[in-house]
Amino acid sequence: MTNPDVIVIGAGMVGAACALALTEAGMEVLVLDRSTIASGTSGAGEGNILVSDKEPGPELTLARRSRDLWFEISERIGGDFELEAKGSLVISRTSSGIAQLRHLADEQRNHFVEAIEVGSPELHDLEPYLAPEIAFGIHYPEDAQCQPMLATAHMLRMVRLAGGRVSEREEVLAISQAGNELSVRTIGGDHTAPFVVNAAGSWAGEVAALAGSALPIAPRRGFILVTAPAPKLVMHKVYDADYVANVASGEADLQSSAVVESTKSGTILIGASRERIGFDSHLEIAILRRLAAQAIALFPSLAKIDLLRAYHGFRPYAPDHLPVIGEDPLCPGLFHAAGHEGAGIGLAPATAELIRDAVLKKPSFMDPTPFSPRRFVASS
Amino acid sequence: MSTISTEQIVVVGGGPAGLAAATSLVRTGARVILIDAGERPGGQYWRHHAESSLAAKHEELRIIAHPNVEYLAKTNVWAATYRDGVSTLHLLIDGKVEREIRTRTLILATGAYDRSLPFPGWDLPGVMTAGGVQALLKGQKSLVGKEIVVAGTGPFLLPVAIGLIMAGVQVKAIVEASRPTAWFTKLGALTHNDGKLKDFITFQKIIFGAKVKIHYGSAIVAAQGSSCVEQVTLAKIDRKFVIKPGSDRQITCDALAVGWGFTPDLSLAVALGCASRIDPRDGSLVIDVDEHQETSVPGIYAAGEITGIGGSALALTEGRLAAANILKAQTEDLLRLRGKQQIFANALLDIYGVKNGWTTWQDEATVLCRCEEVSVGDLRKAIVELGVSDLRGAKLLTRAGMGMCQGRVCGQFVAEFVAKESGRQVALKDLQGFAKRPVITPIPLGLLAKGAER
Ligand SMILES: Cc1cc2nc3c(=O)[nH]c(=O)nc-3n(C[C@H](O)[C@H](O)[C@H](O)COP(=O)(O)OP(=O)(O)OC[C@H]3O[C@@H](n4cnc5c(N)ncnc54)[C@H](O)[C@@H]3O)c2cc1C
Repeated sequence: MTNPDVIVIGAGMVGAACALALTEAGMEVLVLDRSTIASGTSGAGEGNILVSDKEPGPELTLARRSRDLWFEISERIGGDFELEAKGSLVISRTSSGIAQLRHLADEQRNHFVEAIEVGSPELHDLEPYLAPEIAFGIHYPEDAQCQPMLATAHMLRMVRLAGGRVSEREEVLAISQAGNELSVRTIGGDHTAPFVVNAAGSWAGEVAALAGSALPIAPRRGFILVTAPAPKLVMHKVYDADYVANVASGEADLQSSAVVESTKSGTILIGASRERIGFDSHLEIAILRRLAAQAIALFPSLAKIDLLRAYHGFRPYAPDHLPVIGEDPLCPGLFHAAGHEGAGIGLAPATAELIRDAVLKKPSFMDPTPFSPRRFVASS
Repeated sequence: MSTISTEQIVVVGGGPAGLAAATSLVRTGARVILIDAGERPGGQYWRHHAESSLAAKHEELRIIAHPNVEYLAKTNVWAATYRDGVSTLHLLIDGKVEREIRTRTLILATGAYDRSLPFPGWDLPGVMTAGGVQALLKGQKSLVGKEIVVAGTGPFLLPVAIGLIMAGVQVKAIVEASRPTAWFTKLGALTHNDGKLKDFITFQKIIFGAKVKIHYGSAIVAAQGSSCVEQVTLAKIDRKFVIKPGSDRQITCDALAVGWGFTPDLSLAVALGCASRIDPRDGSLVIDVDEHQETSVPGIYAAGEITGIGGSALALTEGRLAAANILKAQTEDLLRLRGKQQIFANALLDIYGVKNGWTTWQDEATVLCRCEEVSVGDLRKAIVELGVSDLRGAKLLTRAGMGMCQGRVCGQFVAEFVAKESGRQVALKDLQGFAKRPVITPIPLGLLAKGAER
């Protein structure tokens, strides 16, 4: 039995960021994961840190804060996790798409997002291999990325250095009130702490249920294609404006719009599809074909490049597309930090800041009410 | 693009196991689609050039001409799925054309590839696998080198060395990790050798005649050179493969052929959902089959090396057995034969087993994953600083196994390294994770996109 100040359930990107923020606030942290670090969705997605795909609202506020925190954390904890502000180029081919994209960029600019309209030929100076017929795009220089598995591991390295503990292969089986504290039973024994953070990603609903509460988090599957190492054909993250519509959509059936980018290792990443079909791991060749076709529509020279591998992950999806961040109304001391869907990497540091401030009962950089679990769980 | 051929039996792999299965099947009038990545059938063991006399010797090699066989050469299954009793194979023919085949009865005989072990300098040009050298001999002889050392373990080393001698290459030494005395404990197994013993004696005579020395109980533990291998370090090793101090000496050469046995190629079987297990004899991941060569997936059979390394004679029997079971034919004799051949195969694997003392041969700079240039030091750092404790973590945090070969070369030994450093055994989950390659062989995006419905 151990008595840390706080127990974080889940050693993914969100759990690691929360553990780091709480450690840096002087708390003794125990991180539990039923498998290994970054073994969930954080090890099965991409590492985009985007502001470009967020409409003005609470998520954009969270995203902007998070993006800045990413660079601060990197400076503070060191270790190379491939953080880079590569910038995005969002394009559209249709007049209605262009109008929508322009409108979005205008609104984002009002919220201090850098969004630069580019037409031809500047567009092709930015992206020489972009399909020649594409003539409109918005350049978002602030969009960045990291390597999420490395970022998770480096944050947990700092937690351990400060005396915190990361226990792998220790599944949480029950959570109960024990006086003023919470008792967490695992396959390894019992731990008690005044605070518990549920950062179990796509499985956060199950963890909430262990504490007698409920969260409507469901998996939204995504496939990603990785090519063989290739000459550098893509300079930014490039995607079609359709993508923004997909992200915001609640449809269960398959949607996809390729986001294309080159990586440091020379491969090109093409992601990602979105579909709600539960935790289904069957390979769907039709999805691979569709992503390939969409990527080639952006960069025709990709047609000759080999697909080397494909993988999939399960985004933690909340019905209203907003993450769940805050204290559970039914189980005092239990804080949720989950449901970030396709943006959990980007949003992890700011989420951690909100959790830290909620635990310490301090005001934060924004009003966290829109993310409150109360929107799904009424207090008894 | 798609052929629905659920009535046809599909065999993947044109080595002894696949050919034997196809031969038994067509004899009874069944129709078979036989798929192989090579230009000619034969696989690793019966690899041959067009003018070779091998096809005259083995009727299995001639089966491709049978009217009931559709032979697809230079064809890779690049992806595969299984649903409701039907396997769907996505084929890439000659790197240019896609085709889709569905079947209810599938025999997997995808064989094995050379097993490598990492040592300082193993990534130098001129260091090749024994199988790679043999393939060159049967293709472009000139690329082999002039003075070669043949090293590793297993009965495969001698024929490779003899091939080199015949081709006029100077074999400077043969280095075999096992000791001939190991056979004394296996004399019983020798009675089931299928003529292998006779071959072995012939090989020994040729090698003796060519005045090539065989160093037993030894290994090449390092290679040096600037742009290409120039010399190698020969050392005596103990039964656990640990180098005996002071026993090392240098041999100059311009090529090194190393073979540490074989690793079964499970990508296709795993993609189809066939259950796998660790073969305790050599630590390889193999496909689990029942007495009738059927895998955990109904209608999918596996034969040959993917069910455990056993050599060509056993592979032939397993292929025939799979066919006999599909045809509901009598299997008693085949079962008895397989049992005997397994005894011999077990003895071979035991004698020529790789022992984990090899993990002491490396220094921090030794490359483990050649595709992504991940060194022992990189891996150790990930284990110590970042808390990597399994193969998946090693892959995600160091990129080991993410390159062109998709972990086929390094998967098993990176797993062993991680296990050793974190004080645990290699877990089944580790190896299974690495064998999972939804994209089995690369395919151009343009071709893939062509099949997208619009
Ligand atoms: C294809 C794809 C592409 C993506 N691209 C991006 C992107 O570019 N940018 C971005 O920001 N986001 C992206 N995402 C989304 C992002 O990956 C997720 O939002 C994020 O990883 C969620 O992190 P997490 O820590 O909440 O969950 P996870 O990483 O899943 O971590 C949850 C952990 O909880 C553990 N756990 C569960 N139950 C228990 C229990 N009972 N006891 C103990 N431990 C338990 C699990 O083992 C797991 O390790 C993508 C996702 C996918 C699938």
